[in-house]
Amino acid sequence: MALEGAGRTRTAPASRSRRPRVTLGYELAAVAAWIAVIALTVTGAVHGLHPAAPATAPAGEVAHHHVSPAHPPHGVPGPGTAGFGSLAMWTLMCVAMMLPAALPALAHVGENSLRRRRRRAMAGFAAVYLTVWTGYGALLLAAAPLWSRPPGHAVAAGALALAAAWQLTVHKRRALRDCHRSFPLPLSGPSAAAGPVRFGLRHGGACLRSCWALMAVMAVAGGGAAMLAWMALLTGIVLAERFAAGPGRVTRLAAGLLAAAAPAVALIPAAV
Amino acid sequence: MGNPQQVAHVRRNVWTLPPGDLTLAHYAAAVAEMKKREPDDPTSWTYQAALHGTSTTPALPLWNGCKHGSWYFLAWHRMYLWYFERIVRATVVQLGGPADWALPFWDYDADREQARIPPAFRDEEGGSNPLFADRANLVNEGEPLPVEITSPAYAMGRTLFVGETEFGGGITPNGSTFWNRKGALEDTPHNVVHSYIGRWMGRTTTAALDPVFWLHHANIDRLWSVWASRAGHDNPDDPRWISQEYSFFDADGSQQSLAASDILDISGRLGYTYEEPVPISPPVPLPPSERTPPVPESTSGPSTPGPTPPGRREMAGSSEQPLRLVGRAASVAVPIDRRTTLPLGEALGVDEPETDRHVFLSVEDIEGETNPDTVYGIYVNLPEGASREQAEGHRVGNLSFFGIERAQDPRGDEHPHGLRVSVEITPLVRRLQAENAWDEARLRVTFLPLGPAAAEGREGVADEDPPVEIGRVSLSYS
Repeated sequence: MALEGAGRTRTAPASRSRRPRVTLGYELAAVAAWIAVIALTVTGAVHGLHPAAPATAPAGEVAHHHVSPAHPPHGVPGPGTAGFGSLAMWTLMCVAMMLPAALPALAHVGENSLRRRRRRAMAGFAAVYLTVWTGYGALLLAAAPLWSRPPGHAVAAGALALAAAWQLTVHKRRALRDCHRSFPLPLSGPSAAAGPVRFGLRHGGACLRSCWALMAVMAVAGGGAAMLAWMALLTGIVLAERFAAGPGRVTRLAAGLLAAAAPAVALIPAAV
Repeated sequence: MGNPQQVAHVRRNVWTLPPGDLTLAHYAAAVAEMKKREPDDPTSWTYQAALHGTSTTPALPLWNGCKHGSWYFLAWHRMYLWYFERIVRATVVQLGGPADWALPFWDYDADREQARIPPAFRDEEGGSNPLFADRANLVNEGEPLPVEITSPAYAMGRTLFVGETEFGGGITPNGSTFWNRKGALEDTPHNVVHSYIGRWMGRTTTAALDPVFWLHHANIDRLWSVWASRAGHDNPDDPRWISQEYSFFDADGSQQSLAASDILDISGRLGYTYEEPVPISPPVPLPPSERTPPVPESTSGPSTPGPTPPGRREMAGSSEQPLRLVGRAASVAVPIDRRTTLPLGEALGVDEPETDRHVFLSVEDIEGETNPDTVYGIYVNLPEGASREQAEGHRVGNLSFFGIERAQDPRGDEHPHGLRVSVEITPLVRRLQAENAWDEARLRVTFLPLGPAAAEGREGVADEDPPVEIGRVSLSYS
């Protein structure tokens, strides 16, 4: 079954009922996550996830806060720590950035579940999908001390170069294709409850294999406006790859963009 | 597209060509000539077939362009056929044949005799017959195609073009070769005839290499023309469909484009027509029953100007485990969720107040490495030991696997899909209810191989088909 097809069937002409999309709640959740991240950033409550957290703006942008790595701002864990606050922020970013990419899969779950179990099935899928990403975030934060010593911009440049290289691998292409695979969801029997969970694991796994390097950039990016700029750019790449008719071209274009950004970030520390 | 065509070319029934007619002789000569052309010549046989699909790499311009499982299926193939016919006609003329040559069509549903592949295509003649191709299921021995797969009755009875179970297919993006929102005509007879003939015809990458491909598609194109000519049947007016352009090569080797809006008037714009259509079977494929409640042909009410598309489907039940098909009969239970169906009133198929309720059966997430060249009938609540005639009263559709290789492992940017078949079973549900034969708690779906192998029974056959796995069989309503 095509996940995209499942979603688009709803656009068939003159639907007899005018019910909202099954994914509307999750679309609103992603929007809310974006608003929350922006609000937290603008108010200075958080400054990114990198332990050195050089809260500066990307090239051409003005940072709202400039914080010495030695003195992390309020709300941000100190260097080398993987605190709950950072993980919560990471999860919020995942809801904002990665949940939109899972909307076709969520629609698949919703439209292929019994109406009385629809919310539960979709919530189960979304929870597992986001848990996969949160687990990855926890791993990154736990490993943060490894890259806390080099300058933040050097780490970011390395992450961008890694992301660019991953974009061009066959593994990336396979993972992206797996993001489009659907999953049979039994409506009754012992497999019924497990179906959305298993699909969430499989879809989350494919999405993680596809986008782990992109999201690693977020783990080492600075805070403030810089973080928002990187979030917007990377979300754009993720969604374009996911929804474009020709994702191969988008993937290669994104690789070029990331590869160009890597030396720029290395040479212009203010860009991260 | 240039000016409207001046000459009306008549596509005629291949089985009723008059004695001495040379249509097929000219076709054979042109095919032989096209097969001699260089593979990179767009008017060569292999290049034309590759426009539909090929496993040859690297791909040359416009290769692998076919559209399936999509509302673009009929439009793309009409254009493909039209340009191919122009190339063959030019070749016929080049070889001294008539300028009014037109593709014949194979109306396999006309009668049992015509359900056989025309003799000109059957014999290899020591390798000298350009119309010969290897084919499965004893087709080349003159075995007729089973009536279950040749009948377009279900498709011709659909009143809407757009929709997964409707005539022309569900809305899909343009781009990929295989989606899984195929329309009723694409499913039966198109896909099932491809799969039953098998071998080259059974795979998208080789199908158009078989010369009978073009007669099969001429028949599909004819059926679309017949359907669209009926009152109340309208082709899509959606800008996404009507303005969709595709490119092909013309007889002079130049690349040309057509939009769907260019091809709806086949005689006025494309310059061809079909021989007087042979009567099509009645639209409802179920045997008559005195107790069968009347089934409305459409969902429209008295004050509704046209047929209303069904709303979003709601799930009512599904199988609990995947089902593996290897060429033998197989069944699966589909428990019905009573807490879902009870609030609907009496049940799924009652007359009032749910007269506009539609019930659908879907076979989903169908995956396999290769098309086994076996076509199955899909039967609902088939009684034990039912005769073929009794069984026909429980058949709701067909299951074939044309394109399974490409759908599962596509090239380039295309996304992998499991195949999917969806049919409306409302008439059967209502009939079984009227006969007190409808089980509110579950239904049983049986897949029976069609054709001579099925008639002989395959229990004693040691060889199994390459396996195909069905992820889920579901019941839904709208």
